[in-house]
Amino acid sequence: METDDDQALVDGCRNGDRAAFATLVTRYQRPIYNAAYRVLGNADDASEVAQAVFLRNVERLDDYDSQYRLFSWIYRIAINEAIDLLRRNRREEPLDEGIELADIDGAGPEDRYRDRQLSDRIQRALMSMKVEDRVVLTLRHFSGLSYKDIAVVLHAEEKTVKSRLFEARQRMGELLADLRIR
Amino acid sequence: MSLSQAETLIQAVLDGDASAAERAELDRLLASDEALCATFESMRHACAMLEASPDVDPPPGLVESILSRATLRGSSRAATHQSLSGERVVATDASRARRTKQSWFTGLVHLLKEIGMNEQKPGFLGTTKGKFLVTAGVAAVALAGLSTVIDFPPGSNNTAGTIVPAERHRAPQNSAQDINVGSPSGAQSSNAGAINAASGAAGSTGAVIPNAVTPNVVSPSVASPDVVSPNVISPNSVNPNSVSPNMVSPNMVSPNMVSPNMVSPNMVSPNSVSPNMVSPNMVSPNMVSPNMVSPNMVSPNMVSPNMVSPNMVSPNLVSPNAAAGVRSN
Repeated sequence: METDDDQALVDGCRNGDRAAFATLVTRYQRPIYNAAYRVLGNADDASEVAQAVFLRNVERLDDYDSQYRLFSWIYRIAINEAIDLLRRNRREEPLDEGIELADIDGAGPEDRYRDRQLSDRIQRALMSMKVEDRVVLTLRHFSGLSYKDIAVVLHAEEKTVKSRLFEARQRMGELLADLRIR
Repeated sequence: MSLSQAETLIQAVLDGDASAAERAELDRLLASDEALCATFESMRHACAMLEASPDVDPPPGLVESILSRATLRGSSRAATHQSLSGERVVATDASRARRTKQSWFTGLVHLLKEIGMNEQKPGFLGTTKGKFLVTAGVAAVALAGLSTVIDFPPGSNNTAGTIVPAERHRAPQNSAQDINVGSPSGAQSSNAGAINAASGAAGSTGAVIPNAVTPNVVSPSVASPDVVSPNVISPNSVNPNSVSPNMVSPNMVSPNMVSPNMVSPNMVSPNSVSPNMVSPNMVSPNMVSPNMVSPNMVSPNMVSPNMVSPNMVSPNLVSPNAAAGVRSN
């Protein structure tokens, strides 16, 4: 994840530079959308959250503390938006099968089918877990954040993040015990 | 809660952050603890699958949608308000399909709300009166829409057996003109009287009168010719409309109902038959057969000379055998 020039992008956005904002959106829209999808389990909700994140980002640029990395700040907004949406909806929807998985070079139809099966299976397991476990697994495994960054995003201590992640991984291991990776 | 030493080592190995020494230490612990070994294998399996799960592609146009809605400086508040309005600009195929399922009614209400609540529009809609009227309109549309959905008030097609009570069948009732309770001996007889005569009046009066009901009183389909003869009651005595087919069915009055066996000798006591009741014209020779009156039925005490006049009982009524029995008693 490019972070070196994130501060420059933030400065550009603060000065009304639409190109800087476009670069920022292009850079983070995919990980933010994926994180939101893993937490929410619904493509439309994930899209809604992704839009709200960047629009809120614009609104709160003056509140951004440059001592933290930009993506941590953006992820925090994204997780809060997703949790708010979950609370608002309070619904249990069937797994969204309208999602498109990322193309992998050289993947044939069988590979794509297998990827789809695996993604759906994991998403079902995620959705059966507590939101806190789902969030920490998402930030660690799908967003690739470090314990320190996760702690910043969640406003928690690092050891708490480690403990929560350990439990979440244990739970996920139980849920996916019947699966065997290729 | 802090992790134990083994759990910390497992976490480090799973994250790829463990040193060689830490890996060796974990191997030593796992070798001596089967449960810990199973936990580690399960978690490693889960992590491998999580890492193998591919990314999900964002919907096409997401970036453009965000850029078109964002206002960087001076109007950022408007952009945020737009984002919180619940209206999605970017839609996947699934969302489009889901949205098409929404009814026109929801869209209309939403449109009216948008018009009515837009405070930036000057003029009539910006006034309190205008808002009130628009709100009332929205409410009226909502009620109309609800009525189409839940069918209230119910139409005539879907109410059978639900709200409106079932209408009972009622046969035409007799009026005062229809029912004329005349004297027992009169030619005029009520409808009920006629039916009584037909169905059960073989009783104490001995009034099983042939020729008692005319065809106009009880239709041929109601009573059999054996029960009702055409000669006794005139057509004017009972209104034909007062006797509906539902009141007297053919099954009710059958020829078998009034049989000679129904009139037993015990039914006619000496006290109940006065000379005035039984006229010579009423009792025909055919009514009482010789078999009906046995010698044991009529004792000398029952039949006094005053009760039965010579004119009442014809020679054919009592057989010579019966008379002999009386004498013997």
